[in-house]
Amino acid sequence: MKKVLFCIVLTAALVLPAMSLPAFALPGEVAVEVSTIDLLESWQELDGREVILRGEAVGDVMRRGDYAWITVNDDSYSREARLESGELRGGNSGIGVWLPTAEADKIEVLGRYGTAGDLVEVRGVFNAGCNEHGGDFDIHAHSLAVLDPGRDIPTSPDSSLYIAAVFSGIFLVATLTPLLRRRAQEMRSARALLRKEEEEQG
Amino acid sequence: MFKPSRKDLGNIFHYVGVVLIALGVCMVVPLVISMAAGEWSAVLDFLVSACVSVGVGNILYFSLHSRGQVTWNQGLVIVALSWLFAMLFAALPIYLSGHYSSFLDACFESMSGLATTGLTLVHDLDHMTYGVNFWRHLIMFLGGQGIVVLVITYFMAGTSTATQMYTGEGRESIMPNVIESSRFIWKVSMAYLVAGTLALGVCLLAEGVAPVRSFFQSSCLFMAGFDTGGFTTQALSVGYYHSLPVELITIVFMLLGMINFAVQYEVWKGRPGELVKNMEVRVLAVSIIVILGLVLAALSLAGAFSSFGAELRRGGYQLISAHSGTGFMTVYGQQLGVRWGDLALLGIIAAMGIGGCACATSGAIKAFRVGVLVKEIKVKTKQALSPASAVIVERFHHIKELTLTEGMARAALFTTVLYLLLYLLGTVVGLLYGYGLTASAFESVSAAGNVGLTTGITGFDMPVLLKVVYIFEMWAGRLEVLAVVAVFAYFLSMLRRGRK
Repeated sequence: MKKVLFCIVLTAALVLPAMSLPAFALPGEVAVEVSTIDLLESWQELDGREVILRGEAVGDVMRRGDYAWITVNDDSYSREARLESGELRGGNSGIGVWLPTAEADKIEVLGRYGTAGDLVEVRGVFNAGCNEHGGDFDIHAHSLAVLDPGRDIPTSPDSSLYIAAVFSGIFLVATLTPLLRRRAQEMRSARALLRKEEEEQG
Repeated sequence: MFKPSRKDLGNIFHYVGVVLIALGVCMVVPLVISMAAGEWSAVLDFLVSACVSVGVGNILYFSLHSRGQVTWNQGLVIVALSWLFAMLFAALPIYLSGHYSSFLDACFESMSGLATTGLTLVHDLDHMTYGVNFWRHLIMFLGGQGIVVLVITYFMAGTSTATQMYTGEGRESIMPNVIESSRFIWKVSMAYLVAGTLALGVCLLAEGVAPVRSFFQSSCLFMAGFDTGGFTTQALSVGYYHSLPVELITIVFMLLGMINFAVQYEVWKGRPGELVKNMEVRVLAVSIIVILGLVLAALSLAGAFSSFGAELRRGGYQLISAHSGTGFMTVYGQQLGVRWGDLALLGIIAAMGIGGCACATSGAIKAFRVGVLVKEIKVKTKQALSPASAVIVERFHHIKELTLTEGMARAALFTTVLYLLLYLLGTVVGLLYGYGLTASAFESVSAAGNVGLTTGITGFDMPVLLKVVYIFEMWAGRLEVLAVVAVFAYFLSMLRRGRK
């Protein structure tokens, strides 16, 4: 009986702390499709798991030797790019992805003003507090696939903006009239003074 | 009591006009950047905004003439109204950019920028034009140095009016003459701007950011860091770079922004000992060390990170960001609210509430006042334990040896109480909208202390009243509350005069 109790206590002592440790991706584990919001909300369950994230590659590819950092936004703009003065659908949500430079080099277009970046799918391990990167909230990806290549977004100004620019220019000139008048008056008085001095000297 | 007339009002708006002209002229910088980047919509946005701003400024300046010297209370009102009008006109290109839901949101953004807060209501920041992004950061630089300081430096000749306006913006004079002080602040800031942009630009280049983008981002980060603002060019804030060197360089920017310019002037003059002897700097150092200990203990208890190194890096960065009033983040706002625990948040709230030094770009109560109040408590305690005839004298070092006076303690207590009331206002409104106590207090202190850290309450979808309250808090907090109280008192006495 004592032996059984000892075995139960020993098993519990070994298993319970192990249960509180973060999970790590195991070979063959099924990857979970996630969004950044899922990662923020369920970080405890997803920490160390193999995940799949789809979104727009934005900003910069920051190459650091054999690896690189990219930012993948999975907000509504990543699904449908916003046109000039188009509908506003909230802030950006995204996550930093650390991956081999060879994978990052597959990205051709990055999302910035005037461009919708490549729609990419990254697979890798999610870290809620990455030990390698000082507690970073990131994904260490082993692969990246471009699902939809990025493209330019038309950015030509609205015609009403040209009209507004013309009217505001006229407004500015109109408000400068007192200054111009004052300057002209000062010039006239200066000239008159000069003439008077010349007459007195002459 | 002072009874202002319409003539006084003319005098006030005459100077507000100068500020608007200066603001409009500053819009040329992002206009040129947009032109270089081929962002033609933004070029037109800035053209329209600059013309309107300078135009309205001209009308005020030319139609309302300056009559005599500006009095102390007029100086306060000029400063407070200048900031309010600057918010409205700086919001024009921001609103026209199409990244904001309403003009109120654009005003929130411009006040957040000018007051160097860093809270944002932007949509889709990662696709914003270079021009508008630069403008968001430039207004932080203008606001951090003080838009009125800018006007004093370049547009004003007389010193008496300048003095009233300078002190109204919550600054102490570094040199005997305020115009010289303003010029010194601008010279130092421009030198730091060039050095900081280069240093961070090279670092970003080494960290893999493309050449043009690295120097664009470094100039923006410098303006936001040195002026303890907190806007960034990318939605992930400083966390976007995943880089320890970037974090260390931005910490240097934040420290430069939070240390009293008068102390920095002493160091420039070859007296580095001032940094060690100065009471304000000492208070700041003690506060940072104590709160850092608290935050680290809280993070450890909450199990937010798996190693001490991560706790120190994330906790330390967020703490310096909070204490300096910057608002740069290397964690998500949601992480702060959920993972860090209430104790860590209380530590950050305390840091935000205290802020940096006086005569720096930080907001909030400021270390000088905290130091004075601590010394006053010490004096009162000693008095209580000494014979009635005993005279207790407390001295401290701040540029020179000073003796603590009742007046000094009263002034520090007065401003501290005003700040605490301001913090309370936003907290109560947050609670009324159903947000938790810690989160409401965090957000309110962040707005009133001009910090910019968020647990996620601040966003384009937050209630309109809360947006207005936070705008008020940012405005009042930046001007150390008194100038805003002066505006209300001024117009109230005008109304009373009108009735009589």
